[in-house]
Amino acid sequence: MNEPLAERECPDQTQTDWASSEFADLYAEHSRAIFYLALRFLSDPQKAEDATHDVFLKAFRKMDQFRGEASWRTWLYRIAINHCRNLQQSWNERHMFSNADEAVWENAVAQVDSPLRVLETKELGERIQKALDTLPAEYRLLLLLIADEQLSYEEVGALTEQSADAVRGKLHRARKAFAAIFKKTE
Amino acid sequence: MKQQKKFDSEQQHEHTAEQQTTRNTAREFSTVEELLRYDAARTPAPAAVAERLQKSSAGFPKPARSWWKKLFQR
Repeated sequence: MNEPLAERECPDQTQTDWASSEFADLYAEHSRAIFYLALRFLSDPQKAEDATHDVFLKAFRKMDQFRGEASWRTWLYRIAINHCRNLQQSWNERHMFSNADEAVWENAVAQVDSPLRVLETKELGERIQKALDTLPAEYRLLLLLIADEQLSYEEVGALTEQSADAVRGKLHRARKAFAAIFKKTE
Repeated sequence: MKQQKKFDSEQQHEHTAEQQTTRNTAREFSTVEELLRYDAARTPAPAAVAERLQKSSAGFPKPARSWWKKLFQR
């Protein structure tokens, strides 16, 4: 499904150019991560698909601005986060949380150490989405980024404009809140 | 008789496969990150995105070559 584009059949010149381009390799390597972030952050498969397209098109047009100070993955994530945040704002902050909501997260009592059991993996995506949707956007983003093994705490901090220590502190609360909500989705 | 044996064997095989499927669907994740990684690994970007991107990018000039080279240095 996510086969390298270079291996696909290319019936016309445009497609041949694409398939033989390094950009196709970049897409093949990072599209899954970018799509997953968009999907779980925006909570809408169609919007995630559009966002992934827009992020990579933006990357294609701005390749010459890539300075090599960060990895390609981090650079793409930065574009994706900005894009998703802009989209979210225009949807009237659907997931914005109030102080009352915050108290719920602070009081989340799930045992972080206890395992998360899943009996039916076919419904896993829905359960994860439900739990993420209930979290504040910041917690959701932190969990999604830190789940990517290619990113360090420092890189997640840079992407979310905070220190690595702040990321660690917030992640502790985010994990607790997620686990508490996820267990209720059983 | 031989055919019946084959049928029994197939039934047995199907039953085992069913059990296997049931076992495979029950999983335990020790961390939230592990759970999300598993979910991400089975969630590829739809093929339609690549197709759209292929068409959209055709309308723009190719990026400068020097940056493409960097792609392979990382």
